[in-house]
Amino acid sequence: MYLHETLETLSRDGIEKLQIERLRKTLHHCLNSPFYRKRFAEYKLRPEDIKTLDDLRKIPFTTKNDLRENYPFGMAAVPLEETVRLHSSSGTTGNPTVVLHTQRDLDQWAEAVARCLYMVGLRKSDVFQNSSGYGMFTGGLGFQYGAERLGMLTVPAAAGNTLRQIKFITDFGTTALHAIPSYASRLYEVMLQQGIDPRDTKLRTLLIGAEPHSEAQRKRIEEMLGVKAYNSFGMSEMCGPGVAFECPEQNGLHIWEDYYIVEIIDPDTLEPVAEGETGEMVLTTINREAMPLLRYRTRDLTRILSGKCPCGRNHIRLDRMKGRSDDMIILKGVNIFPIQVETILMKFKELSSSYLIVLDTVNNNDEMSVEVELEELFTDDYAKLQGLTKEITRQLKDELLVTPKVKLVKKDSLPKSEGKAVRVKDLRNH
Amino acid sequence: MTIHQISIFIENKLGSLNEILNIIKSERLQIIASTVSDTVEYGIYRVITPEPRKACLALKSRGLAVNLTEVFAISLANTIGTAAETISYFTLAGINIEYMYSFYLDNRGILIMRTSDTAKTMEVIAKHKLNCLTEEELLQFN
Repeated sequence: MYLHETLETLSRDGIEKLQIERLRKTLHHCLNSPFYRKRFAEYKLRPEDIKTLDDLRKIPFTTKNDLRENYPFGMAAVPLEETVRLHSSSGTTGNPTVVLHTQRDLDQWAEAVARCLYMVGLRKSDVFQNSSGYGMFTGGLGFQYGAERLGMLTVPAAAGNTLRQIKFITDFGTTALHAIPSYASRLYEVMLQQGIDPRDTKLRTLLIGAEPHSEAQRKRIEEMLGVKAYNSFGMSEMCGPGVAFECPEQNGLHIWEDYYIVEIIDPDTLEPVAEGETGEMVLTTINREAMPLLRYRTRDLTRILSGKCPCGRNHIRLDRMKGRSDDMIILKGVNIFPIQVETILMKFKELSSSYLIVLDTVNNNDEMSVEVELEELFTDDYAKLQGLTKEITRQLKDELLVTPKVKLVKKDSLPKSEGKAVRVKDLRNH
Repeated sequence: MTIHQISIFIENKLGSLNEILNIIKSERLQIIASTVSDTVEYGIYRVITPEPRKACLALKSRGLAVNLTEVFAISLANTIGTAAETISYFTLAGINIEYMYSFYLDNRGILIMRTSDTAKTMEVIAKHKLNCLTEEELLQFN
């Protein structure tokens, strides 16, 4: 039932004792990071000042902006020769963020993912297929190493090519698949077109994450594919997948408190919310060498579920993510900030400064379109107008890593850029 | 040898043409000829009007995306086969016609066209002594 029985079944007291011990160690270790050394000095903080978990609140927050400003290696708490891998965010607008890992970090990450997979019933005898993008996107390698750690036969199919994914599922007898929720629906459709009944395959377990989805959507995926679908939560700043995961109860995601200290704050007042209230999740890593993060503002909105989980784990359960405290969009598992779109569009003098991002579900597939206003009709030639939309599409794709549909609309038809203009319209059925 | 046509960006949406025509009406502009073709999301509404420069500024000031485009307005005798013969001159000279539309004026057919090579088109027109409408002649519609 438990891969790491002792750690997974720790009592609340046991968890807190372990946390304070690991937190103290982490704080001392943070002094090796140029960023935290400077920050501790600014706030006249010493690791010794933190004696209890409540003392954590004396430490200032760390934000994504801190990571950007200290690009690429300013956050590192070990010499670079001790690190063995980095993952980086996609954004080329401003500095991307870099996350560094030592070999121990990678091992611990793989253990966390393996723990999650074992928790939902996957074993050595399972065949695990991963339809995440590999490379810098942590959903690829993160699940790969975790699944190998568990000893499963892994099929690193990577993203896209639905026909090939289905061939792998049928030919290799895939029993467990990691996919973003919207892709699971897509798989079902193509299976039907191919005359394949998903229930005739060996697929029984789906791991879905990296994209907001509702309980209704999960139920639909389970019915369509004849599987159990478990919610996965990860973020690249923490490592990737394996931060929190649903247990067989499918009622909230256990976040591994031997890895993270969780706080839920009001994003406006920055004060802790009342028990069980929704707020922004703040995480402190306590099991990490290369790049410890103290009180990192995840921008993800959630709440802590009360009560004891029948699965026997006392690690707290998070409700499914309710959105973001910033304007980040998650499309097909890819994080997108409207400012990235804006920066690209500003380069085109043919366009006005107004634009609208529309997210919609078309044939079970999530799509993004960008409406832009044509400021001047610079040509009388259709081919040149199409050339303009193609060039905008290409540049947006290079920046965002998803291909939006670019639509030219007439001047003054979109919300104006002054004040709080509506930049994103989300029509997806989640 | 050329005249100016007004090209207006138009969305493929119910009421778009109506809206543009109302603006043209309120600016008291005369439409001598016009064309718009079916496209998926947007199109270009092309209009021949007297005093195109003035009209262009007026429409821009009303928030339309407008382009002033140089086109040819070739005047043809009203007999069968004239158009075929005329166009063959351009074909033989290797000139591609990007778009063309026509209207009827004083018992003559007027071909409005934009070609792939304006300079070469002028040579062909001079060589075959083709009759072209001028912007001055369009003023009679004012």
